[in-house]
Amino acid sequence: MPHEDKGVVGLFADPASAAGAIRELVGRGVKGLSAQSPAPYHELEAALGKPRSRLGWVTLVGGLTGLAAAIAFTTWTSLEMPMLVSGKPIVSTTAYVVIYFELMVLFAGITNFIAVMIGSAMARKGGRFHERATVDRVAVFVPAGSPGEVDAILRRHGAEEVAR
Amino acid sequence: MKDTNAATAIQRDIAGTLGKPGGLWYLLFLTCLGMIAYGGYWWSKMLTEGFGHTGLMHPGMWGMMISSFVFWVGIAHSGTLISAILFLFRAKFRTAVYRSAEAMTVFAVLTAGLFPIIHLGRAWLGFWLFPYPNQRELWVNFRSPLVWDVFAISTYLTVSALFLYTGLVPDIAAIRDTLKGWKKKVYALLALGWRGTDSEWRRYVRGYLFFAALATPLVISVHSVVSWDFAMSITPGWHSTIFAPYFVAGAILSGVAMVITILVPLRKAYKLHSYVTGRHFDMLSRLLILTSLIVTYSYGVEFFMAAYGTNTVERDLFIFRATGDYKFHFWLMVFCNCVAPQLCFLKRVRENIAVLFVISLFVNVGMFLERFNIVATSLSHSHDPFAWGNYWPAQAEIALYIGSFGWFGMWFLLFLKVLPSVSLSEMKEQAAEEAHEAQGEIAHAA
Repeated sequence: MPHEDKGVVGLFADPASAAGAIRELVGRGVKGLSAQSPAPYHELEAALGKPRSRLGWVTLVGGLTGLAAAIAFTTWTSLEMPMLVSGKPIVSTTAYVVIYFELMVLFAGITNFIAVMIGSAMARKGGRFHERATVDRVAVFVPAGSPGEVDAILRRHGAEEVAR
Repeated sequence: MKDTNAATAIQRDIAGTLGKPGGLWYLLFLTCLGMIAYGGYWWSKMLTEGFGHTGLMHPGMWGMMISSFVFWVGIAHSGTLISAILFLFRAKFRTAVYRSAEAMTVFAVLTAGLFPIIHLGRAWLGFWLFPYPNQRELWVNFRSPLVWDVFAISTYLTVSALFLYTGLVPDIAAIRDTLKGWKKKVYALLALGWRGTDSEWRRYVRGYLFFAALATPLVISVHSVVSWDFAMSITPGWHSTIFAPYFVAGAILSGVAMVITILVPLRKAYKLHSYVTGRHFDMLSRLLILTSLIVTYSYGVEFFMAAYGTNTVERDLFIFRATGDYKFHFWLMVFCNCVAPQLCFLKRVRENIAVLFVISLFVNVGMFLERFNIVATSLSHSHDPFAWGNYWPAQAEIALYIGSFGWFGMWFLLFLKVLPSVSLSEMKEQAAEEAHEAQGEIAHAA
């Protein structure tokens, strides 16, 4: 879910402080929190408590498509040009296993990359962005209209900067 | 006030290695271009005047080009070992070294892929290797290990390049946000709009894990398939079930050695001592010992099987390898791959970066000789004594081999100046974890 365009942003020097602020805000009933960071900090992930990505299913579908394509392609081309080689069957399944495996991994890899990049692009659509939070700071975004003293909580946990 | 944040320091130190190159970089780059020109000149002669320029002659129809191909594929493998397999095992020491190893993988596969194309002779018909619809309704023979190899190497190049690029995206974004002008635009294009929001990281972390999970069996399959280029034939010395695991272990040995060979000067040139530490070299040298022992065992098993079995041609071939016209290459290979790495059992050696660097060079030489021995001895001493004949590389093949180092070096040098050679995001993540652990220890002590 993209983070809100309007609201409060707190900029932290370290992920532990940002995670502390998120935990307190969540505890006070604030919803729709999001963060931006230069690395995948586990503390932030745990504090935000969002579910694990289901990207694996997309990668699995990609891999299975590759496997099916490999089986279909090797079978079809062998039947299209039925040539006996070393007395092996026309459709030499055992020998084709290597092709099945390689195409399965190739399709899964390409699908995985596209899924990560397209999924990420969809996730960040329209959200706010702080330039330093890809470099050396952690930004916590709190949606507008959140209950409680958001600014004070962010500052108490060590936010270097709180902006609207 | 100076910013003492660990992430700031990591960004400053590692991103600081990019930018305007120094005199040494230009010297190395020009040397690489010179090596490419030397190899390119001989390749152009081979294309225009024929393969008479090479030492290839019946029965030695596979020579140094195929040895070089296997050598470079082997070099590629440890990059995947370090980036994918050690990632799955959560080995923290990989963080500082995996990016250069991964880049090395992509450039080494890019180099390896040149040799089968050159070896075709009529390189412009290289697309015949791939299945494509054509008027004659011809398709490739999927039963052939050489076609398996085409699929394995193409998949490996694609997946390892995507793996490298995926890891680079957050780092490119981090560099983008510290730049201005046209450079910012270029990095913005490459960063694919990355912002580092938690939603992006959730997808990224899963995607990266799947890449590692895909790359691990892939890397094993690729060198197994390369070994089957040999093992599926009935040529003595090649037709062996041990070839796949033996090749995989050898690939990792040569790759780890190449990682050390590259990291030692890289660390010195870019003053990365606080990131690539003695511990990293210690762990790499332990990997060197492990893989060297597996390779040594494989050499022993090959000889044992030949001696204990009843195949006289096989037995004769192994006697020829150790005592025949290639004995110098054979024993030098044994020294480089089996003896020299054992020095790493000594803590003193593991801690001495200069000695480790020399050992890594020995292994690089040894692993090339291994491939040369496999290719040259078996073909020159096969079943029919009437068809025996030694293969020795001509200047053209040596030039191509030298040129391949120039090609590899050129890409690597460009990489060093354009993209971070140590992962920014993983180093920042590790620094935060270490700070967290340190705080926990202080709290526990209090």
